[in-house]
Amino acid sequence: MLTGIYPAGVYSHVLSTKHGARLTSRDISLGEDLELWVRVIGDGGATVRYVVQDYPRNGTVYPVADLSGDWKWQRYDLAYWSGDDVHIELTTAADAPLLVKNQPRSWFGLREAIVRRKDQPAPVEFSEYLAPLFDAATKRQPKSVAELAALYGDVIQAAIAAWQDDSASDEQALLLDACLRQGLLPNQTTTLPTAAPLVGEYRQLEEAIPVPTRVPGLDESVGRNQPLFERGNHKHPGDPVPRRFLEVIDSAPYATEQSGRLELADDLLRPDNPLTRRVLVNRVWHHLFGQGIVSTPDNFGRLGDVPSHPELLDWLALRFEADGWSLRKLIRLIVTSGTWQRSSRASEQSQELDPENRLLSHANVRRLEAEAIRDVMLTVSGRLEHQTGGTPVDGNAPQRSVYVRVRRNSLDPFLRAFDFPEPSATVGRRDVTNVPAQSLTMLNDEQVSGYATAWAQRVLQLPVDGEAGAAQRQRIQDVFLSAFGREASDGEVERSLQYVAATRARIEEQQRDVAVLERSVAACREQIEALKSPVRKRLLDALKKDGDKAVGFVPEPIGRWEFAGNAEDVAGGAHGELRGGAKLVDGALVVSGGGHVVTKPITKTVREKTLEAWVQLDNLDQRAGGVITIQTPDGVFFDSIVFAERDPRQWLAGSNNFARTQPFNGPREEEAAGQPVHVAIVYQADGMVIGYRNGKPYGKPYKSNGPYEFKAGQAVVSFGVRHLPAVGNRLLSGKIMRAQLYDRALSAEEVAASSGASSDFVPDSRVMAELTADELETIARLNLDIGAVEAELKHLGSVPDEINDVALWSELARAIFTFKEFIYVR
Amino acid sequence: MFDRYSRRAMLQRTSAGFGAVALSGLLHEAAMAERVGLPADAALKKTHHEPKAKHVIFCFMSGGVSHVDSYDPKPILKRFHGKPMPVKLERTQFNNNGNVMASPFEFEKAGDSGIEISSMFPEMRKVVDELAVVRSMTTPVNEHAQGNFFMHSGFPTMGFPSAGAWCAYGLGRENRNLPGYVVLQSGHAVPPHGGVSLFSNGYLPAQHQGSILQADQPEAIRNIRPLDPQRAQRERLTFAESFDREFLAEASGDAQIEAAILNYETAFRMQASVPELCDISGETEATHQKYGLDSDDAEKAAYARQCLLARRLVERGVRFIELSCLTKGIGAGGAANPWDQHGDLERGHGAMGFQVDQPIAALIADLRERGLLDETLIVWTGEFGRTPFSQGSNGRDHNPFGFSVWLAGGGVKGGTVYWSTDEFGYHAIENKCGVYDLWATVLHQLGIDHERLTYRYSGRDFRLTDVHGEVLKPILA
Repeated sequence: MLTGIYPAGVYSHVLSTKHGARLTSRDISLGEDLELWVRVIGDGGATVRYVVQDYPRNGTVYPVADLSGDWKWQRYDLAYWSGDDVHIELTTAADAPLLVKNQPRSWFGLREAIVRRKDQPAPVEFSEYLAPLFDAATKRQPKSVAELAALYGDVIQAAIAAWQDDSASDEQALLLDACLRQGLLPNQTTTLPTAAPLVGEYRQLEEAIPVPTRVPGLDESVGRNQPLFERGNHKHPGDPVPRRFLEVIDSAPYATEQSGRLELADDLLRPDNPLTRRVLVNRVWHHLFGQGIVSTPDNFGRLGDVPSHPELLDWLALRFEADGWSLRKLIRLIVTSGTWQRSSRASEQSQELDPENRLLSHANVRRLEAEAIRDVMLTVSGRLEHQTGGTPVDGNAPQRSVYVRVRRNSLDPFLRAFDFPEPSATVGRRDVTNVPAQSLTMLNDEQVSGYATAWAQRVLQLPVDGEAGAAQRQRIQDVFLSAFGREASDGEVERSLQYVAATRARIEEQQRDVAVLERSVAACREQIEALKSPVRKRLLDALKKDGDKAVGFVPEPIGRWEFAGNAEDVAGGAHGELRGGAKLVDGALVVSGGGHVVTKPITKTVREKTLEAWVQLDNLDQRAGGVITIQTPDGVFFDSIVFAERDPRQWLAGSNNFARTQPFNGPREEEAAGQPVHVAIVYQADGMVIGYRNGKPYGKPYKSNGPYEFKAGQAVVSFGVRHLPAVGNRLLSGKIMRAQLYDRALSAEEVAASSGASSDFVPDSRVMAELTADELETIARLNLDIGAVEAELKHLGSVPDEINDVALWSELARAIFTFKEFIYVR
Repeated sequence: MFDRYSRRAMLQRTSAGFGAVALSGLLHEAAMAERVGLPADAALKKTHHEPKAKHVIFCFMSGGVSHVDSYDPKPILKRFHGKPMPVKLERTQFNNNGNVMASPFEFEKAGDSGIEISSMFPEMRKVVDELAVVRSMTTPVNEHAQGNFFMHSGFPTMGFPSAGAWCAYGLGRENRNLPGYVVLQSGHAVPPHGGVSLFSNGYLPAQHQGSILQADQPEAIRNIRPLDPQRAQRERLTFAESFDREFLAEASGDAQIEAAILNYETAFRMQASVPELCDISGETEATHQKYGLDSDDAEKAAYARQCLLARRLVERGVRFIELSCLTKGIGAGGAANPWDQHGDLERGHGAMGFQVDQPIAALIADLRERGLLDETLIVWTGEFGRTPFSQGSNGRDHNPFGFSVWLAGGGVKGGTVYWSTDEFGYHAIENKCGVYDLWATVLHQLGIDHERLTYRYSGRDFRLTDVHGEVLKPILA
């Protein structure tokens, strides 16, 4: 029933621990070498601290202590802050100024707070609660256990009586509290039948207390005049300035004990204060016309420009007051005026006499604000999702731009490119700049491109009347209407349709060009292969006849997969299982479209290791597929021979989170699509990772913090996937002729020997070594031709394989995004 | 915002479209430039006096370099090592102050000038005669974000233009195909504490903000890589331009629309000029070696890449180039404050020194060889120094009361020292100077009177040096 009985002090939970509370002391000016002692108790996340310079966070010199269920003396050394003012602060968990904990129940209690010089003994802790017993005992010394027990009884009863009387001393309160905790006093509703119904009622009421939702704000407590900081420098405080309105208008200090904000708010809104309303209506005018009556909306008076039409400004301000400060009425008033509805075509006369258009003889050309540009793209693309309220969103979310999160030193790049201001100060009048970032965004941003495609899709899905031509024209009209708010002229419709047609023609032409170039590359490659393959066949046959001649040199792997009709491990027992459509064809494992192999667990623990594979890729542009991988069965830890994960056409020693991965920076792989290559990665015991290709070192070795140890029975090998699970971009597309796993780091010679010894594989270097000088010259010339053609292909860029309406109309949409009319209003 | 060209002037400037470059416009601007000495987009019509430098390279050592371990030798630290500081200690950020800590680095006189530089920067010793070392720099702020803002903009909070923005604003761009203020990053570098606001244009026009350029990525600038092949882009922009010209006429030749049209031409050209800038395949093997581009230390290689690109940016006329250090994760040196060795100072500063020493020395030597050093002012500084007494057992806390910076090139008097701090390197005592003086000097070398390059904002004329700053004449040639 009772949580505690307390000595004299300040407590936050007298009625309920749901109640929020904050206790602060007055400011204490710190001299040298002082310390603070507070005697505190609390729970549930309540805290005690001293506050300096109103700093709300904790830190090395801003200690904050959590309160626990027992009384304790908490000490703070204040020497660091001598010269500053501090105050003491205790708060419940959810009421800290910044370090809020969302715990609905918490409480604190404070008995004493002392600021004093440091060099003194600590406050003595003693068992205060025993004091009443000792007091009584001095008067009647107990001589037996029974007497002692009686003494206890009397003292406790006296304490209870005093407590009922509200006259209990601190010691008596603590004694009773100790008794409660020891269970010496009845404290259950079952043992206190008279109290029970009252307690029940209390509990009902307490239950009903709502836990308030806190929102950050300012709390009114004691108002204080602040010193003027000279030049804004807090280290140069001047005289205190009384809290009041603008001195030049009314220098009388506000007559209030509190902060004075309420009085300031009242003054800002008083009927005889024209300033606020003038500023407000001017901002609305600026928003609607592109320039305010006062062209410096953040600065009126001496620091700003003079109003072009002061009487109009006042009239609007008074009208605004009369209309009850309704922004809607003000906007309606302005936009229904003749002035606002004028076109933006300027007469010769106005250009001569009024180049700034202060007389508003025509509308100003205005650029849309960043938010509006983004919103227009969302709207035309059909992506916009209406919502009211909700949490702030990311820049690529489909909500209106007002909902995009504003993180002041990490603004959304799209909005920033279009002059979204840095929110460190008020910006009533935004810049309208021309920075290349804007054009680059409209030209090359992926998200913008996505909007264009979505727009095209939406337009093509519109119901239209009539046949092809008429339908197309209707679509163009829809595009112009949603982008520019007007119809397209006949000429504009024709030009737009011509553009769509020209795009189709261009793509078709480029497709033809690409096909021709690709055919010529293929022809060169065929010619090269025609020279090489007889030689290769001859060498292969010789190898097969001689068997493993170079055997002596070649190291023994602990796992060997030859993929000769099965995925068995002929060296160990880690047999492989075909998955995802992997196939065995002509002595090789074919992995593509998700096919891969996972073996049974390895039977030896492997720390330093070598991964080795003979692999041919389906294409050289694939990224991040794995050839051979050793990993924990869940794929969380792995080492792998990976193709082009970080950099295109680069072999890489892949690992979990790149923990043991750095680029080899070897030469770009150009051959592995036409022929098999031998790749090996050696993981030394000292952490060095060395890559090899066709028996020769590949790129530069590097030091990792490996090697990682894969334990026997707790690791598997996979082929064709960077690591398990086999999803996403981890899958390889190609074929693996053979793969081997070693439990030691092979030397460079051993790798070289191993690369030459496979009976399925003849390294290209050996083939080339057997060709005649003429043949080599021909091959060199053909390679040069291939290089030239591939450069041309690169220059052409990516050309879509297929032309469809969406692609063509997306192109039109992309073009329209770059129109000035898309972002300028006239 | 609404100032306009006269219609006659507008008609004279019709662009030739995207089939060819806007030749007429370029010729017009070139003529303008010759006549007044500064590019057309400069705020100043001409420089206030004869400039010595045309470019600035700002080597910012985020986190705070310990001066007593690098450019400010203090032999007394050895004698007092392990003993309490004999003077009152000011507040430090972490309040975990130890005793005097001697420098674990060895100082050595270098060059003809005999300036002492520690073993943290052995390569810099070879170019010491190009340096003007200022040992009496101070700053009023002692924490990273504030210190970074203050060092960049002269104000300890965000919202004010960075020095790079001021230079680009005042002097304009010599190369219209590249930004005037470029911030180089590479590898895993990030902006220092304070974020991209450190490179902000503040209240100056937005085109002067720092453009972040990744020195080692194919997408060096955001959205620079064309999504479409060149021909597709050209045809698209030609199609758009026909509508734009009509819209421009409808809008009575509004100048901002004209400028927006030209902007696309600039962006289009940047798609070629930026990759050209970043393509270092034409650089010799000797250059690779000199800068340390192929270092095994990934961070050093990345920083070397920035230094090489800095030289290329100078060659291409970029006004203000800022470099970014990469963290080695030692002591408290995180991504945004790599030099911040509150602990493990010897190892951390050793690693960071290794990262920047050779590349910066190579940059200085390279610029000298190519005859570009005299017109390129290099500024090297962190946001504050570090304490001569330890933090904990082997680190140093921040010290704003005295630290070292150096300048090179750009008409600075090489081989000079502008001193000094007290015997412990704790407080600057002679020729005390501040950040305002540093930028006043930089602007001076660029031909700008720092008191006269102003911008009216919020009712007053702001400047980079606020209402302070003296040019440090003794370090100028």
